[in-house]
Amino acid sequence: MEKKSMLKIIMVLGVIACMTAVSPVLAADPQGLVRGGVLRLASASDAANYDSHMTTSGRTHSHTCAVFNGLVRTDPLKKEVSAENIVPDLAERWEISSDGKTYTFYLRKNVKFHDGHPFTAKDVKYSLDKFRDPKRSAFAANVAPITNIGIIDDYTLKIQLEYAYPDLLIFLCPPYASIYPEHLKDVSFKSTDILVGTGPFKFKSKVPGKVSIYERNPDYFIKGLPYLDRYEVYSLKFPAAVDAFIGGRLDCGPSMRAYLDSDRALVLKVQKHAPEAVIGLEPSGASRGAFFSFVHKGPWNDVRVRKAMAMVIDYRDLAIASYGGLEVNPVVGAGLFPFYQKGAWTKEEVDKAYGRDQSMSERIAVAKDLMSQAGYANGFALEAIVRSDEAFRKNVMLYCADVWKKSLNIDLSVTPLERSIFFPRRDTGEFDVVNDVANTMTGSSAIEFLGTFVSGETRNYGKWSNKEYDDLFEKVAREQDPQKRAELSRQAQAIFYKEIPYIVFEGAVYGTAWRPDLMTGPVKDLVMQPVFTNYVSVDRIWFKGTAERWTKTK
Amino acid sequence: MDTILKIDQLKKYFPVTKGFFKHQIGNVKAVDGVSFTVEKGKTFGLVGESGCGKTTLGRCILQTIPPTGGKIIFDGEEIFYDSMTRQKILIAKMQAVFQDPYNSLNPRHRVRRIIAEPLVIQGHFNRHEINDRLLMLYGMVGLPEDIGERYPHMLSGGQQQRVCIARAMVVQPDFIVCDEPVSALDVSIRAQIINLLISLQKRTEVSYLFISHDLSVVHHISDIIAVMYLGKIVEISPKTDLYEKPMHPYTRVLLSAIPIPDPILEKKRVNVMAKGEVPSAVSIPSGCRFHPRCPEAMKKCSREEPVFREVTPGHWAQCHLLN
Amino acid sequence: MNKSLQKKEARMKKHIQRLGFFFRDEPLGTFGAVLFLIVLSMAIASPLWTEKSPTDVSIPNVFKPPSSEFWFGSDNLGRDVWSRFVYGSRTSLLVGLSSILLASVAGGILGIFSGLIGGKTDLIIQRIMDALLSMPAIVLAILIMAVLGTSVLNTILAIAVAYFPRINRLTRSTAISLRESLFVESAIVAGASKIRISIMHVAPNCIAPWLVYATALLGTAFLAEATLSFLGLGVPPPIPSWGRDLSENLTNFEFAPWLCIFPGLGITMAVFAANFLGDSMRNIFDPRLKKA
Ligand SMILES: Nc1ncnc2c1ncn2[C@@H]1O[C@H](COP(=O)(O)OP(=O)(O)OP(=O)(O)O)[C@@H](O)[C@H]1O
Ligand code: SF4
Ligand SMILES: [Mg+2]
Repeated sequence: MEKKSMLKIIMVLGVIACMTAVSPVLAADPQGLVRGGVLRLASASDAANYDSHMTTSGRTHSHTCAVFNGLVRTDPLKKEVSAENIVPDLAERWEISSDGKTYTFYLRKNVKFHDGHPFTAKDVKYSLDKFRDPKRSAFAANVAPITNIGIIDDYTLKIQLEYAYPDLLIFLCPPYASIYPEHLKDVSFKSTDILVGTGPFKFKSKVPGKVSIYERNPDYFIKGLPYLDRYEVYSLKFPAAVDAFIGGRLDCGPSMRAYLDSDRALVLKVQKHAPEAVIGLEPSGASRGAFFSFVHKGPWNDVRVRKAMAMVIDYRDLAIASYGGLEVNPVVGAGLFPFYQKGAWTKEEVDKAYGRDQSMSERIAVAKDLMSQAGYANGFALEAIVRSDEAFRKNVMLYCADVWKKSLNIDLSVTPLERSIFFPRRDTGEFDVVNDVANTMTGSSAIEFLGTFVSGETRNYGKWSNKEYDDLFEKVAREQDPQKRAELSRQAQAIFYKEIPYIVFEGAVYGTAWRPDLMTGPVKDLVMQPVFTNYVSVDRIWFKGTAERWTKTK
Repeated sequence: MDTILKIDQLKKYFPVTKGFFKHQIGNVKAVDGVSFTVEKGKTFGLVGESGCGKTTLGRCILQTIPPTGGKIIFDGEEIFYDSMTRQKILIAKMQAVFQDPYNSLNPRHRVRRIIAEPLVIQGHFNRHEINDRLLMLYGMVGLPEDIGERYPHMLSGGQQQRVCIARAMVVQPDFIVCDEPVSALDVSIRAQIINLLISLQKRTEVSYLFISHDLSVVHHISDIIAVMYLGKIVEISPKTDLYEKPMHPYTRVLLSAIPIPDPILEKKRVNVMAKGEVPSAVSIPSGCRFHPRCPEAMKKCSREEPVFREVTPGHWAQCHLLN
Repeated sequence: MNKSLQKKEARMKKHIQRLGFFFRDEPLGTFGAVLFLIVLSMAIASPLWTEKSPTDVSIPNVFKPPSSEFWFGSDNLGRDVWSRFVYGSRTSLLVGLSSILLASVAGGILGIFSGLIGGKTDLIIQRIMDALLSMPAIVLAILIMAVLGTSVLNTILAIAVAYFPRINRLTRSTAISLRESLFVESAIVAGASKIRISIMHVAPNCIAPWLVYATALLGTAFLAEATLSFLGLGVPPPIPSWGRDLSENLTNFEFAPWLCIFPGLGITMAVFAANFLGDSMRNIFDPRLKKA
């Protein structure tokens, strides 16, 4: 009974949301919305490709978010990402069958791709079939319950599920599940120069290594949007990008994420030189930590060793070591789930699992004991790989190296690697320890947090495998009742914290700064969403002032 | 009289290459069919303008570069080029003194070591023998006895050339190629070096091939003089005959270039001048190779090469005028 | 017995006198030599210069400015910058000296060989050198590091390979001009074999320009090590390296300038020392300046 009413609410919300989106909210302009202006932001380098299904990199998404749409999207005006906050995008409205296993999407008519080709259900089927194919998508696991996508007519589409799966809509949002044109299927993912979507901005020109320029799509399906005339993405590494922002040559932090969150000095710099700028440091829901490899054989394959290693870390010192201070991420000691998440282990429980409730000297004694039980009383040597372009990852591991050496006589060498070398090694478990993110798509679903460590999942970098855990995960995914689901996911976490395939260091923070007159329509300061950040709302960004003013005051 | 060296139709061509892979596009005919003989204990002078192939000829005889064709008979035996080391007989009997004494001496070696090197290489001598020989040589070439410990850059030009001569003499050779041994020296010491060479010849019966571009320098030392032009010998004659009765127009040109100390005679003299520049050894003129510059050239000269013949006993020349 | 002792003494006196001349005639070279000796002693006897470990992390002490406890301040992990400065000299010297040694020995021998043999062998070797020389040395080193991965040995190899063709060119051209020289011809006349000529006549005369060039390159090698480390391609952490320390702390320059100043100072010191030494080496060895 309760289930049905909830679905009804969702449906009604959907209809209302779609109406607000289509209706000419902006034609009348009582709040003084300003149209025009150029948004300049930065990405650390050119995008390697424009395949948003395949990559977790903001370097791709800062481009695709402007050019492509999803079937649905999260409400650009709300901070929280949840199934309740889903609004229409290319789908005008949708219906969910009473058993929750069939979704019918009614698509907008008269939507055109930038090349003039009409948009139909064929494009959606093509894109989502790719999105759920593990070979061609990094997020296939999130939409695994989909069994079939059927075209009813040009503007109606049915998605069949194996079981009811309330998180589906979240996972169909951009910037990940972008809809690509079916008629360009051979070129869309191969070329880095052909970008044809339905989105608010059209590809105009590109200077490799410097800048990509997108211009307003006058035929965008929401009349009056986007507000901006142009959207420009500059390829700039982060210290340089922060300088460019301070100097007034960028309007907001690079790709709107992963910049100010890398170094305390950058935060201090912006505070000092651009005091009027808004600094946004948002927890992302994802966590950072150290994965142990179960592909490489070594002492760390013994759970007692892993536990000892997790216990001797002082998580406050670790946070300071990462960024040089607590300004970037003041939250000390995170868990696999963000603590606010329903069904998450509480901070006290996680502290206890990691021995953080005891004093350091007690912890070291226990850890030493564990080591000698495992037969490594004299320590051992291992190697950690980190990506070379972000110092905090290396700093954290250098801190761990020092602690592990001093308390457990473990010799950790830290090897920074170029991204092109690092990623293939990380993804295949070719390491002893790797520092990385337990990646999530939206940072809002138990399925995502737990899914990282399921056997066979790409993001399970260490290739840890636990039958009991996998079974529990399956149950969590199928469970409809929120209460029961939370309970099951707590059980799965119990295994995770007991086995420690990954030491959670901190909750990942994404941070950036933007000029104070940057708004998300109708009249709001810029809304930052965790993980999604602003990718989804570029069509609604506008300037309260003018670009000239920001540049001149500098 | 005995012959120490006889060369017959000696030729040396250098390939001219071009491009990345150095393919050959022609030849520099530096020495183009030269024959003469050198008698024991005598000096054979060789004169010619710069670039006519004198040094190349000397190097071919010394066997430091391989000749392209022709025969060299030294002390009754034909000698051949060996790319690894020179033939033993040559090392022991044929030596050289070069134009630039400073560059002929290894700057990192002491004088003693430089002079002794040929002996050390031959290896038949112990330290005492070598020392004795060196002391004797210092006296012979007029070097102070303590010179052995010095480095070449500490010596004057004249001393350097004496060291070169001592090195050549150390193996008691029968034949020395002197390639412009005084050209690089100060005029004031030229005569000393030439006199030294003459006195050495008197004492040891050594023969010289004395190369110079200056007829006045060869005059004093030579017994026979050959004049070379563009890789070929155009006139060979005993010394006095050549200066009194030069037969080849080129020889006359060279002679007229020597300043005469007496101003009256100098005024009277008819100056014969050669026109233009020495042609390149890559493209040698047809017929008589001197004809483009010859003051007495005739029609025939550009078509037919004159024969080299003995005009008066012992006096050979190659010119159509002499027919 | 007595005589040989006297001789020894005389020789000693001569050496001391020569050293005196060097100080008088080459003040900059002397300065370079002193700097170089300081860096060298820091590298060899680092524990005498500092008791602290360069890799010792101390979170309560992050970003301490220079003080009596931390002479050069402390860094983002609370490590002692003075200690990193001292131990950083090790990396610089080890990498700089060994790479130049490797490059000059290999490049020198190959250069003499190629110059003396001439012909096709020389042609082939030199075309390969052309290919290597077509890239700026540092770009070549970066390329090699990117392929080999970071380690001390690889850094040495990369820099050595980058500078090796330059030294090869130099000794080859010296060898060629020597091959044509009259004293080599005189040696041939004297009956010297090819091997004797290369060892006794050509090689010793290549040493002076070779030494001068190698010393001059030493400065560039220090800089190359710093550059590679600066780009994150040099020696791996936590081994202290001036170049790496400098680059990693660039963002902190405003708030903790000592983190950039001291590693920068180290690099400057080493490079200056090598360049001054190289300059006076040239003055001493250049025959044109030689006094009779
Ligand atoms: N190794 C060589 N390779 C190519 N050409 C050469 C070589 N040596 C000499 N030549 C050429 O051969 C010709 C004769 O040169 P050579 O040195 O024998 O003349 P020279 O009469 O001794 O001149 P000079 O009076 O200037 O010493 C010149 O054209 C010269 O350029
Ligand atoms: S043959 Fe003719 S050109 Fe040659 S030298 Fe005699 S006169 Fe002159
Ligand atoms: Mg010559």
